[in-house]
Amino acid sequence: MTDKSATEAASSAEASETAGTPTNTERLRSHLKPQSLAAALLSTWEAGDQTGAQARLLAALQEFKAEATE
Amino acid sequence: MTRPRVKKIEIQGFRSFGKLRQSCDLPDTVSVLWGGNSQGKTSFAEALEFLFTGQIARRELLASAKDEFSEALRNAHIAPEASVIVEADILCGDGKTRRLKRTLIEDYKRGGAAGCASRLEIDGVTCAEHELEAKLGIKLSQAPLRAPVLTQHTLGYVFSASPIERSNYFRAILDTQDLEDFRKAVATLPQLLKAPELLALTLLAVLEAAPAFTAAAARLRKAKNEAEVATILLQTTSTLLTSVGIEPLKTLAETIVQLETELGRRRSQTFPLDLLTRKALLAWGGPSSDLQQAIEAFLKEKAAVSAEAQRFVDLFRAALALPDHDTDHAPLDCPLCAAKATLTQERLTFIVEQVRATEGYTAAAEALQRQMRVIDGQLDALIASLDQALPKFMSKLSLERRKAGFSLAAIRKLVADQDAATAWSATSRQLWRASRQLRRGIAAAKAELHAAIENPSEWSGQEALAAALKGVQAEQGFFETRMLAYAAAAAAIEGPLEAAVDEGTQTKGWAQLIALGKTPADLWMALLAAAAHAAKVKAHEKALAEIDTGIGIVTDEKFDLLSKAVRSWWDKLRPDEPVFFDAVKRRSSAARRNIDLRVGLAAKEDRSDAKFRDAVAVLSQSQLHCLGLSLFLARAVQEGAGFIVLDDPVLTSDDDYRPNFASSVIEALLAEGLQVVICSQDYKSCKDIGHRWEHKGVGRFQIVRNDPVLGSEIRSESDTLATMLAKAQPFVKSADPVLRKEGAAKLREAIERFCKVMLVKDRQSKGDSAASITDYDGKNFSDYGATVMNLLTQDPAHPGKLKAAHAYVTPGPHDDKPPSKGELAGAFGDIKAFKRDYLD
Repeated sequence: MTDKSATEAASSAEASETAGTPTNTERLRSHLKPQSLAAALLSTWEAGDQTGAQARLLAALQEFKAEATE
Repeated sequence: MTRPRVKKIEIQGFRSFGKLRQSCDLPDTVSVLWGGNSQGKTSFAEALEFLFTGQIARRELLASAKDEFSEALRNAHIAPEASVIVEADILCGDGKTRRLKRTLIEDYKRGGAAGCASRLEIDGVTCAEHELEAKLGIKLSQAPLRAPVLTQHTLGYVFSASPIERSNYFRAILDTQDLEDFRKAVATLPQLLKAPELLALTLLAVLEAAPAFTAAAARLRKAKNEAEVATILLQTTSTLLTSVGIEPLKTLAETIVQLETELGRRRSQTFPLDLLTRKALLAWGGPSSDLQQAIEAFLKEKAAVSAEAQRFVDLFRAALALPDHDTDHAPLDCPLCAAKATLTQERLTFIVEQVRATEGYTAAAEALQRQMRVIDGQLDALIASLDQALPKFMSKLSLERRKAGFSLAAIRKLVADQDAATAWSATSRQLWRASRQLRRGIAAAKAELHAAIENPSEWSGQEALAAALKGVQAEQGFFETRMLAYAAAAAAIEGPLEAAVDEGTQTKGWAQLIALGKTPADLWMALLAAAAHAAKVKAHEKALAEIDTGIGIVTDEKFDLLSKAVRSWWDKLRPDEPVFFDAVKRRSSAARRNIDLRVGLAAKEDRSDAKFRDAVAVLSQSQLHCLGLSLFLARAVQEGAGFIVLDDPVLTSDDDYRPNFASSVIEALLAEGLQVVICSQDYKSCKDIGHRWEHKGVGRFQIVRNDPVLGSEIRSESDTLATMLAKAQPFVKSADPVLRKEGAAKLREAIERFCKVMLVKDRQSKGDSAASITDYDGKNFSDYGATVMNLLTQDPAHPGKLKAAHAYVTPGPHDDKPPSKGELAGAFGDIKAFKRDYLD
């Protein structure tokens, strides 16, 4: 399991435990294609606080394209 | 963890409330405050809003009338030094009761857009607003309706709000701000994703704009590798050369040279653009500290050596350089002046001593000369750079310029913007003059340097040298300023000039093609970078579209849930009505800002034939009021409010729906775990709520304002006598005899109530704990008046006063004449005094 998917799983489990209903981001994720850039950006957004989020998202965008063009 | 509850409220000096603090203890369930018009109900509701938010939403909603709220929070009749305070005891989720206090520091001011200022405290400690949630569990909503307080002024907000305000309102209810934040962060990524800024791409863009090369540029954009780029460039240059009658050579490098030659030839026939070219000035940074140190060391050594020694030191050195005078020998002829036998041993020893004495001086002089030469060389470099920093035409004689076709008149012919040409001309002259000044400064400094280098022993121009070098720096700075001005002016004419020349010579795009042809590898790398950037931009656009669609679906899901909740409240308020609330929803699947409130219009009872319309367009005022209340209640439940305050939640005219509110709505609110506080001017409704929810410990209060200076008072309705007196008071001084007659009847009821309470109190004081007011149901003053008069023992006049008061308000069998104002006022005053003296 990658760090990213581990974070997602942890936050998902926590949300389910505390709220019992899906969070907004869980709802949104269910409407995104799993391997899409949109889903990758959402994971990046959730992986930290808003400080530095722009830099993380930009890196995710760059990284996503790098993977796609390899 | 339970939701917070308001246990007690205290208000002082706020709006209609006077300087005497008013308070009421609220049950966890339902409280109802009755008050007539202008008694202080809205002030009570807004006091709670002020307590939680520090503002009143009404001012925010009436944006155009903000100035009219100047000094609106402080009671107009209290002294300036009197405090304006709203306090509440809040029972928190942890079971502890905490004291929340808001003190007005500065009221709203005319022209003060920021609002009022206040201090918030929890248990006596000043705190920030966010601590309401952290310490008390009170979560405020989105502005402007932040507090769970519904007033008449705020009820219609959602209908009158702008599309953006309405969208923000519902976004806050749906609690999707986190998704909006995410979306915004993703949407702004392209600003960070900078397009590659490469010269090759700039050149290619110019090529694309030249019709002759558009197709070639398009092929270059699609090239698969560097070799293909070179091939396309070769084909393009070859085709171009052929088209102008030149046989192209074989390689790209060769065709580029051919093309460059031809371009130069053509341009020179129109205008010598190359005479405008120039290079950057390699600025001189000024003398290093080494020079100053060398000067100081030299001057120090010079001072230590005599002038004679300085003069002859070279001669001495020359003498010592001769052979065979390092050992004892007979006097020799002087090798310098040829004097016979003058170079004796003694003289030789003297010369050696003199040379030793001047060694330090000599070394310092040499060091000084070295430093001077370094500076001299730097100034030479500055002159050379200055020559190149000037546009080439300045190095040409006027005859040469004219011969080449370079003149202001020629420029004016080619450049449409005459002001730009004039500015270029003016800055050219200024630049030339600045260059001359700099040259003069450099020459002066060099003269000082050379004086020192050539004859250090005679040199004493350190101050003049320092001034000259400073002068060079100053002139250089001035020249750079002029250069910047010239560069700006030149930029304004160079582009148009080049375009005009290329247009005139039909060479548009040639220069760019030549530049690209010289470095096809650079173009290929630039194309790769551009393609990578374009791919990122496209991927981002796709991702953002996917996110927008996803957020839209999530929003719709949450709107559905909210719609169900609003529908539920509507149906409780207006069951079985043919007009019903249907949904709050986005206007379309693509809409982000427009939120519609849709209602169904049905003719059949089962609503199967409903036609759907926008609520604002078809609902009556009463129905809109109901929808506003439904939305507020749905929001309060959705946001997990612990309590709500409703100021006249049902219109006075909506008699048919009042029972629904008093029963099923309050029942549902209590089932949701909400503490409900209702203010109403309708006494029947308040009484109804009091009866229906007595088993839940309903709190009943009355808000009265008999005296504007004293302000509104909150009275517990458990003090029924006080309520009766309050109801009678408005009629007592009426000039209308009919109203006075009504007042007399109300006052008579109050007297009877007073008597019954006196009797119950007396019996209870004697141990009859079962004594109750109801024991005297069906009895009247004639039955118990005498007994009560015996209990009025504080003043011998009291029994007579009671008897007289009752007589004033009790007409005879055929007496239609109402009591006078004086009689009623006297009776009212006496009963009020009896209550104070015997019961309170």
